[in-house]
Amino acid sequence: MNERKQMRKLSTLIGLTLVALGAGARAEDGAPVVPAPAAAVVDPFPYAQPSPPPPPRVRIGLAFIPMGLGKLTTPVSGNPVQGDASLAYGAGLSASYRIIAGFSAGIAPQIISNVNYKVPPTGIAPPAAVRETDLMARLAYTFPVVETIGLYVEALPGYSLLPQPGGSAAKGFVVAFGGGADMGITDRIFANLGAGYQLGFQSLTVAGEKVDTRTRYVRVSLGGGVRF
Amino acid sequence: MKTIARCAQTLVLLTAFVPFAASTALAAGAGSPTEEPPSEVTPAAGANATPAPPSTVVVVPVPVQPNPAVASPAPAREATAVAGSIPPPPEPAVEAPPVTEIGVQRLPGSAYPEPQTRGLKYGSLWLTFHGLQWPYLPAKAGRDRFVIGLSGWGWLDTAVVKFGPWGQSAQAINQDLLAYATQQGRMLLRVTPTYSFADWFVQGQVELVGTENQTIQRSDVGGADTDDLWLRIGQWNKWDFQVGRFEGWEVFHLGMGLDQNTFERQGAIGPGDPAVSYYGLTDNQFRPSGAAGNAAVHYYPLPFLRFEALGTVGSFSSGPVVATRPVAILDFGWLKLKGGVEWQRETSQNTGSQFETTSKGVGGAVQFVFEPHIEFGLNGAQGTVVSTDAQGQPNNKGTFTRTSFGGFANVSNGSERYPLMFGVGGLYTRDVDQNALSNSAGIVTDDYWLWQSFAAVQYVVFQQLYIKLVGSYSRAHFLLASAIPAPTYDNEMYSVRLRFSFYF
Repeated sequence: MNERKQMRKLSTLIGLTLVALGAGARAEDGAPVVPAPAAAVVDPFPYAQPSPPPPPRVRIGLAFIPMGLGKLTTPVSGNPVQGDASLAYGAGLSASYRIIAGFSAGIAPQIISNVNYKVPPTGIAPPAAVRETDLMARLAYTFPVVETIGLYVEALPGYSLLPQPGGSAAKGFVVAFGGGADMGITDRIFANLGAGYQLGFQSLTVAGEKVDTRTRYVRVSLGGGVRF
Repeated sequence: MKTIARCAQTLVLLTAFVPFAASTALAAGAGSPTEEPPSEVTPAAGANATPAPPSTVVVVPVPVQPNPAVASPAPAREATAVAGSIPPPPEPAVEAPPVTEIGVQRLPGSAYPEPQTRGLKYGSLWLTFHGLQWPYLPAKAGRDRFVIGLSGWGWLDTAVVKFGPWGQSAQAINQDLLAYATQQGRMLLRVTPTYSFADWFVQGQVELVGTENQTIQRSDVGGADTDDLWLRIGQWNKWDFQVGRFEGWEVFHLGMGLDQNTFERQGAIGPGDPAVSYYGLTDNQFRPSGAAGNAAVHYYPLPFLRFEALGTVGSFSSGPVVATRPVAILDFGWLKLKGGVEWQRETSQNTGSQFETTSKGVGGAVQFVFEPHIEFGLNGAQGTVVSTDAQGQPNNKGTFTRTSFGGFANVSNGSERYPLMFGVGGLYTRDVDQNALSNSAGIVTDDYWLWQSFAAVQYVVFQQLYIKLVGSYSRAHFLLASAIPAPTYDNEMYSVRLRFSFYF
């Protein structure tokens, strides 16, 4: 019986010894000298992304379009005369659909105000500024560079109406080329900044003859919109 | 049997005790609070350690003595001396210095305080400190420290510009028919020795400048050699007194364009035009030229309220100058209100001359930050300049009223890894002087206005190298009081600029 008691005590002590050893191990674990395992290092920019949702197909945007370094051509005594244009400014709406990969097609009408000469050509009275309306299509290709950022190139062919003070409107083909950057602000909302060049081939019929009444501009597009 | 059991019991107890004691000793050893490595102190409650430049690199550490009042134990050199080796020199009989740590540091992120958001990360507002004390290098863990902080920045601009004047002043128009390109740059090393103890500090700063053109000045030859050069003393986040060459607090914020020494900042003002530049409480904001310097008291009564009382004294090119420019900033992070007034009086060195120019102004700004995507602000200021010539007669061309107002907006994708930002801004300035002509048709005075605007896109490579493209348009209109009816003409300027910047 005594031996049994002794054995119980012995086994209790051995158990305590193991607990004490375990406590020691925990204390060592808690010491900061132990380097953190590599797996604990969190990459702040994890490369492994969950499978992304399919890119949106529809894009609707609104842009402020200042146009500078322009040239304006109007008929003077039946002949086209070209001069520097004032800074023009306007707004454009665009709606496009992604057809394949980064290629999208849509429409992009715009209205441009303050279309006028900076200095009227010699021989004509200073004309009043007019408003140009361009009904354009938009063909664009966007290269997604990294997450949230895409670079695009675009071509905007269309038809232009350029009213003349006291007369009928000059009409004709217009085309713009450009490029820029799209920046995703949220999954749906984006901002974009682009630049390009716009050429108008408008003309006016005077006394049965077609006379050039053209505009040329460097255009900048500052805008934003939604994608879905 | 009993004896055997007792022996076993004792052995087991000893076995248990030894590892337990060892584990306790280990727990109290390395990593105990007394030896905890010092961590960077954040500037104030809620401060975010700004991750601008990466980690601190201590280049020249000096042995740390945690308690300078206690003599350090003698090094055991005798014990380690090798037979035949040259004996080490005796220990100098000096007491432990009061400075307990010295180092040369690249300024850590915490040196750029941000108790409230300064702005969208990497944006123009974020690069502004809104009156905060920086570089912020407080004492660590109650110990004195002396640190030589190193930081700086550099930029290189490549730009093209085209002017297009028109109107009724043939001479000015001929002079302004310009188109040219330029590359210019500026790089500076900022050295900031700082002694900190408790919450006090003594700090100096010099910015050593290398320049590439910028149309030279600062007495030419090599151009600017120093930007900042100041000393200050105070308590962190409470107050300080600063003296030397430094800038006053910014009130007008212009956004991602209109940077100093750029075409868009100059605007459509050609060599043939009267000088017109925006006024944004700026007569005494920038570092004084010539033999003049600033002294300022900064006061921080609340974490979101800051005051600067700045004075200028010295001599400009024409003569002695005195000025004052008190500014207040109320900064809630998402909303920042800034306002101030200024006064400056310049006279002639020639005591017989009655030349005197007095300028006054008032201005304010409001800025909004909606992280992480949008920030924008509005500015407005008006000032007057009254000038008399050496004979004490009114200088009508030098007496004028300036008014400027404008705004900016920045939009960011908020990406940490690929930070892209768009920015736009515009600024309108009008100058009307007292140079008047009158006849039966009426009175005319010189009357000028200047419009400056820009659009910018910026990408930050590796969170370090800023690449910014800025396109700008400016137009100026001049009405000259040289005849009635007054002749008028205009100037127009387009520019494009690509800037590379590195902040370190």
